[in-house]
Amino acid sequence: MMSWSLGVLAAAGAAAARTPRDQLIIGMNMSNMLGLDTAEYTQFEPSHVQANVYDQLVTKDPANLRETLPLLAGRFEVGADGTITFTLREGARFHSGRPVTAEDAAWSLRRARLVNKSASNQWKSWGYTAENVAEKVRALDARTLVLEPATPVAPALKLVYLAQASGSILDKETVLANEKGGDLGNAWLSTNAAGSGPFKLNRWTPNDILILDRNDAYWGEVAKMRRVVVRHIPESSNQRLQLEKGDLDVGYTLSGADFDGLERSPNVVIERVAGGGFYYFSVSMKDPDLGKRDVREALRWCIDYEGINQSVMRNYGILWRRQVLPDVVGSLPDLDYRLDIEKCRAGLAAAGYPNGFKKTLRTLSAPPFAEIATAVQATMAKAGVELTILPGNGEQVYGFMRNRDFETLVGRSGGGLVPDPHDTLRSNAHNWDNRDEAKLTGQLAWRASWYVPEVNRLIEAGVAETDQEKRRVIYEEAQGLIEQAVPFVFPISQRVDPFARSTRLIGYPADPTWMVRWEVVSKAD
Amino acid sequence: MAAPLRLAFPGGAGLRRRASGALGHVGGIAVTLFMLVALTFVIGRLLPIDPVLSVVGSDADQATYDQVRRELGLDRPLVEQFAIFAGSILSLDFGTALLTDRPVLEDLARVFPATIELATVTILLGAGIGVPLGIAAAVNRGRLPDHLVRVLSLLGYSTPIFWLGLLGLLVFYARLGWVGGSGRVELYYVDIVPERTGLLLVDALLARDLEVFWSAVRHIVLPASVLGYAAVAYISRMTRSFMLEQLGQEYVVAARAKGVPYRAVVWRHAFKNIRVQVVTIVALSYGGMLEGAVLIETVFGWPGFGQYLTNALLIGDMNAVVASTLLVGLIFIALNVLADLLYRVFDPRTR
Repeated sequence: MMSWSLGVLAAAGAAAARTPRDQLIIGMNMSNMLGLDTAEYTQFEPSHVQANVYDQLVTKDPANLRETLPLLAGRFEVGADGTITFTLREGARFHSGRPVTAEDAAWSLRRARLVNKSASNQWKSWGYTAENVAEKVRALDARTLVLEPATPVAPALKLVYLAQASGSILDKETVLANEKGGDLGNAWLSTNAAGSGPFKLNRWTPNDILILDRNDAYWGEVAKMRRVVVRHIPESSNQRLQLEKGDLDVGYTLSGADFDGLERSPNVVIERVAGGGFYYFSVSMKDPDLGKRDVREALRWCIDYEGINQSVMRNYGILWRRQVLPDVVGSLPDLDYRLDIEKCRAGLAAAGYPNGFKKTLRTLSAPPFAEIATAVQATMAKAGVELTILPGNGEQVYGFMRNRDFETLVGRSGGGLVPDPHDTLRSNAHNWDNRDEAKLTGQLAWRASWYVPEVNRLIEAGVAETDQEKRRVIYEEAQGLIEQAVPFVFPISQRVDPFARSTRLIGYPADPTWMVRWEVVSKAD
Repeated sequence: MAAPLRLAFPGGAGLRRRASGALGHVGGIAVTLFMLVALTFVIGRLLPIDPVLSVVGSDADQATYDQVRRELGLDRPLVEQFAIFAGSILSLDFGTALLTDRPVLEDLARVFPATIELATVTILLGAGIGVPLGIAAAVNRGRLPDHLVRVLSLLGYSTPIFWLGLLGLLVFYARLGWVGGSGRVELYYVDIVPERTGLLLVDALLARDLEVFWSAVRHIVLPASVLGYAAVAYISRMTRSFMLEQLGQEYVVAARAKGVPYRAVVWRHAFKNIRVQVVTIVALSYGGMLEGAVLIETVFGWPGFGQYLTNALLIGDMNAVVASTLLVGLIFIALNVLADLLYRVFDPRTR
């Protein structure tokens, strides 16, 4: 309310200021920028920096994510057995001046597995171990790199991940020169960078400022901006004032109210990028009532999907109710669940709960989670399902979920968009060992004790299939089975990552995979 | 009794007594700091925040989670964790902050000068305006100046400080363009002057770079004024009541009866007697500001101590939290000592 009224006043007469023509000034709440090592930090904020100081072997065209394009690897070929052979382009150099070799690339990919932090999850799931990775990922000569499969995995899926920040190619010699106690440079790379990207890291002062300077010796098209400055602006209203005044070119972490307010500003454009993962309502199968298929089917009619998306999700998500996101292999048209209290009530009565039941609902206390939870609570109550909301911060809420200690929960899954159906199904439906002691805490399905062996089998077949057409069939079948069994997680919206940018900017990419490359950006005047 | 003893053995018992007094002081400080560390540590570990999840993210698998937990030492028993922790603090090793992946001491050395700078400018404004206002209100008790000061300080008390900050930004930054929008300096002046004290105003003057200096002034003036307003409100109210108490004393009436001008009575007699109390409240206000003005630092993107400590608390970063708490503890002890010394200067009875 306050920021709204301030905004009206501000819109009335902001004196014009301008950012320099050859510098890109970005406002962001950098509290979540804990470090820059590509093997460890894969969140939204560091991804934007990593995408610009590092190159990857391949890249994705933000406008057509199904296509994989060459980057450091000028060419790549996929063999019949799933082996991918990359041929590095000539002339690429690291910021240190050293040429980028196949050995650097092979070492960087192996490092993602060996550092054993967040980025190693994918490599582990593809069957790479600390022992076999050196043999499977190796340089044949100065420019040729082979990536042999450890277990059968769709090469298309690997290429998707290699295009992300965790697939960055690092300057092996520079990193190893800064290694401490066999950490493969993990500590040093948290605050430093050793890449070949279009920008060099000039300085990063946490919670203050991050400066990238143009890499004039870049092998590709040299960036148009001489400098990119990311300034820590934790307060949304302040970011908004600076955008309106023209002191900022891009604002990333604004509140919903400020995005809406900025929409009236003639100098600012709001981009709402549909990204990876969902906002969802989830139930635990451990609960004797919620574990019943018919109860879950009934509850699906007790959520006002459209109302929630129209009222609270404008700057957070767009309506989507399936386990696989749109526009990837095997995507199906959205489901047609909607609010129908009578159907919900009748379903519950048929399942033996004519008077409903009482449960707890865990949710993050931040927007839009709290708003979604309140909306779900209100509509469920009409069918006799009484939900008590237990709010908490992210670590608390997901901590309970990881310990299988919840009844129902409103949360969000996923991060930057991974344009492959396996990404969401792996987490939302794959649970290969339902015992408590299996501790598959990374899997939403395990957290909710949802265990359907036939679905597991299809997901495993899908990831191992090298033919994309066959994968499509498998994923369509898997989604059918999931709906039949009634999932534990009801997606409400596909995640959206909004940002505000000045109309002066030309070619600013809206990249749902978070690999926003700033070298293509220029200014109109 | 004490005086002849001291005369008789100038280098003996008196010195010993003083030495043991000083030792007692130091011992007291050490115990205070130890309790502070222990308390912060225990509270931090009892909080339902999982620092591991902050690092690995909520989707990490168990192996990654366990590894990071081991690396942070969180898998050991609480007593052992505390022993390791206290041991390394004794050797002045505060470890690495999860928040920044850098040594905590390096972080504090970076964020603290920003807060000192803001707090110092604020307290200069707060005391410089608040004390005379308080005296003016007391002297004009019940008349217009008193009412004006009362309204002003009531507003200062009751207005949420972040709201005032945003309103200030709206008027003085967005509309009038008199002050900077966020941070300590204009972006193109970052890194221009060499860092010597960490206080940008001082560093710019040392480098004789007036452009950077004015940019820093344009950035500090609004947050310091907003914070300073709250300080003025508090300091002027307190000064007023101290002063009223003095003005009601008989010596004031006597001085007036002797024909001493009112102005001289107020400043030379009454004010002298409230200096000790004024110093106390100003020192306390200053200490409070050095703890970090979290809201103002957030609104103005001021890279200071308050934001650092708050962010560290939010993710359960105990290395950063304990070191910060110790620093705050030390500040208050130092301010107490300083206030004690000033008492001795201002009030002969305490010597």
